[in-house]
Formats: sequence, C-alpha cells, structure tokens
Amino acid sequence: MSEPNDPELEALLAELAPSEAERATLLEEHRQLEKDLLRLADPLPPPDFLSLVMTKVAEAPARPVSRADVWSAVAIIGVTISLAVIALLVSGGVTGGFGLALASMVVKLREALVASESALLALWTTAALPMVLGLCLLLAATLTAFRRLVQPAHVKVVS
Amino acid sequence: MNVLSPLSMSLGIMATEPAHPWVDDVRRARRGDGNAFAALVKSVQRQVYGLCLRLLRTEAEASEVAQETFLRAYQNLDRYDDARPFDLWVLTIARNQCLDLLRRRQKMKTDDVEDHAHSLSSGEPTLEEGAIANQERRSLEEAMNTLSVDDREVLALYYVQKRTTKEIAEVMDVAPGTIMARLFRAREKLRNKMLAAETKGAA
Repeated sequence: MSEPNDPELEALLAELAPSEAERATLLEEHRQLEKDLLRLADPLPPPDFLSLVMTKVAEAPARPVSRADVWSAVAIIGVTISLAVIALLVSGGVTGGFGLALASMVVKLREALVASESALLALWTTAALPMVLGLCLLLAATLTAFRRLVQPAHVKVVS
Repeated sequence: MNVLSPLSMSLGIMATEPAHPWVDDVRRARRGDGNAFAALVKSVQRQVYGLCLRLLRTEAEASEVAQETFLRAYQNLDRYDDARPFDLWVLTIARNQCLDLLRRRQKMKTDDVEDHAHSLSSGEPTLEEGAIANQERRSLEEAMNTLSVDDREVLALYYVQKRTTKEIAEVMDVAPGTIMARLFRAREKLRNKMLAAETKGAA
C-alpha cells in the first residue's frame, strides 16, 4: 500500500533497514500490520447521541445573521425603493396629488388627536373613578399577557 | 429537483442538481430545518465520534466533544463552503476541538495514565470481529492508544476511516506529500509497540 517512492520515505527506510533483506522483511511486516489496521472500524456513538446533539442545537442561541442574508435584505430594500421612486416619477402629475393627500392626512391626524384629548378630558371630569378602574384592568391584563409571553417555552427535540 | 426548477426550465436554464448528497440537507438546515440537520449529523456521527474517541481515548469526553462539534457546525453552517465535502469540514472542526481539549488537559497537568483498554470496545459487532480475533484487535487498539495524538490521528483517518492522503492532508492542514511519511512513521512505531508487547507477553 505504501511502497516507498518519495525521498522522505526512502530516507526513513534506509535508516531503519540498510540492507535489502532487512528492507524486505520490514516492508512485509508493515503490509501485515496494514491488513490488521484496515479491519478496524469506528465504534458507534452512544444511542442517545443524536437526540443530545439536537437538544444542544435547540438550546443554542439563534445563529447570527450571515453576511449573505444582510446583502440580500439590502438588495431587496434597494430594488423596492428604486421601483417606488421610478413609479412615482413615471406617473408625473400624480406627484402633486400625492403631496396633497399626505398634507391632508397630517391635518386629519392632528384633528383626531385634539378631539381624543377633549374626549378624555370630558370623560375624566364626568366619570373619573370608572376610568381609573378601567385603566387598572387594562394594565393588569397587559402585564399578565407579557408574563405569559416571557415564560420559557419547552425545547422541541427533533429526532 | 428544487422549487426553482419550473422557473429555471421556463427561462431555459438548466437546473443544477446538487453535486454532493449533503448539499440539499445543508441548504435546508441553513433555513432552520432541524430534520435536515439531524440527517447531516446521522451521516457523519460515527466518523466524528470515532475520531474523537481515538484522539481523546475516553467515551464520555469523545461524546461531549463530538456533540460540541456538531453544535459548532450548526452555528457556522453559513460559513461552510458547499464545494467542500461536508464530512471533511465537520472532521476538521472535531479535530480542532479535540486538540484544544488535549492542550487544555496538558496545561492542567492532569493525570493521563489511565487504563483505556475498554474505551474502544463499544463498536457494533461487525464482520471485522469474525475476521480478526478479539484479542488481536484489542492488542492492536491498545498499541494504537499508546501512540502520540498525531500518530493516532493519521492511522485512524487512513486505515479506520479509509480516507485518502489528500483528504487527511485537508483535515490536518498539512501538505499531502507529508501524509505517507507520517503514516509510515506511525506504523513503524505501532509495529515496535506490538513487538514489545509480544515480547513482554512471551516473557
């Protein structure tokens, strides 16, 4: 299997077996040893090895985002924005309409905020206690929901 | 065939089949498919555990390091080059993990004189059991266990895992030309150990 044909091996052989007879014996012994070595096999891992690995994988923190993923995201966002800008420019006259719609939306939003502020003030002056109770209930429900979300989930083992 | 095949065909592009059996599983595992990663683990777990056991010589440590190896592989799956054989990549991680542990062990100066004669006897009964006498195999394993880490590694990869010298060179990060010389040296040391054991047994 490993007949010496490179300088390093030749040097090793020459050092170990100077004569032809010694060399032949040594090579034959190596051949026999190789036969035995080739019969060896790797032992099997423990029976629960795979499930242990998958448990570790499931418990491990999420893999960091790869550079390829970041570049794909940047490309998708870039293409989307470019298409949107091109569409806006191509539509021409619509640009003015778009600005008007945006301004109108801002004004309406401001009106809605003022109205809701007045409504809350009126509610507070007429029914302060029911309002406080309602807010407390809302806070309690929110906290309970958060607590449920934070509780650790069971680790799912894929076998 | 992948899901892009109809699109590729309609565009007149030849769909490229995965060149290696692990490519599809690697792709799916990268997307978070646990079953695909489990399939990858199954395909190389014996080789990885075997190498760890030959280098570390204790079953508990070999199992722990092999598990850690697969965890590292999972966490670095995005860095894996699909063109490279997956098993060689994982074996390289396993080797580095083992060498790290051995270095730490040496640093801590722990007592390394243990009886490891039993540690490699957990293999499934295979044809080798019939071909080579149990005693003979055990003495060969014992002699191998007395060799240095480098020698054990090169013998295990070449004879037990039947790797080519090129593959071993890739795992060990050395020039392919040096592997044959390393093998010869390791075999010579093993032969001497076996001869010494035989002489001791006869006396």
